[in-house]
Amino acid sequence: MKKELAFEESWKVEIRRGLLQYAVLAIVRLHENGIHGYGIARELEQRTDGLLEVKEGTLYPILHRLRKERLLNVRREKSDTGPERKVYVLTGEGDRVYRELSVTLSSIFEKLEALMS
Amino acid sequence: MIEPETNRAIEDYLEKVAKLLPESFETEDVLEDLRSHITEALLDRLREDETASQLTILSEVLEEIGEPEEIAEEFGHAKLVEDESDHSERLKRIALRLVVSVPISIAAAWFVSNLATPSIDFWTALVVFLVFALLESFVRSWQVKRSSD
Repeated sequence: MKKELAFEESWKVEIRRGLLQYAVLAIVRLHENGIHGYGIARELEQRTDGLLEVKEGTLYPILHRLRKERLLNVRREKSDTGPERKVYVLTGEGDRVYRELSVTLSSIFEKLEALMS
Repeated sequence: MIEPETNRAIEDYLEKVAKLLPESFETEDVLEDLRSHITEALLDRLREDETASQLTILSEVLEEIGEPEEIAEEFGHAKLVEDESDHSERLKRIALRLVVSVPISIAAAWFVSNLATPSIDFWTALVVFLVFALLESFVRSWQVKRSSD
């Protein structure tokens, strides 16, 4: 039987899930020529210092969804280490959504800081 | 170079993930991404420590990737969000169809009731045209639903 998460745990899961989509867009945006899934996972770990505590495999359903929403595009490139790999690139719409989310997040954090002080 | 035993372990892991996901093109896509991720992570680490056992490194890589259940749960959540947005898109399409059908039905009813020798009055014609528009809309929705199932 599936164990019910405590309120604060499920809250953290939801917050992480939303922030993860934003963080993925931010990382892909940093790479004009695109970045592959493994690269995204590594950067996510390095740049957020593991704050989002993501299991790397869970990135792929998120990448799939961002593609379906047309925020990311995919192209294929040869890999030095093995078979062809997919490279994710931000679309124009992805860039617009990223900038809009950035403004929203800044505003949320600003207001939350004021609330906590 | 990945050893056959390690390759088998990778395929076993992917098979476990596949069993938890629906059989679809999207699942194939996610599995392909996972396979490429595992291979890259494995070879990356083996370059740093060439003497390490491939299976030991692989188990570390899989630990970081997560349990198949965790991936399936995230996939399920992503599908759920997609389905919700599909639903709102469907409602928008229905509303748009109605907005287009009503004025066309009114115009058509006015036209047939104003012919030189009209055989039908405006209101009867309007009802007939609206019923046809509704029927066409239902049939189309049913066809779209069947093709996406």
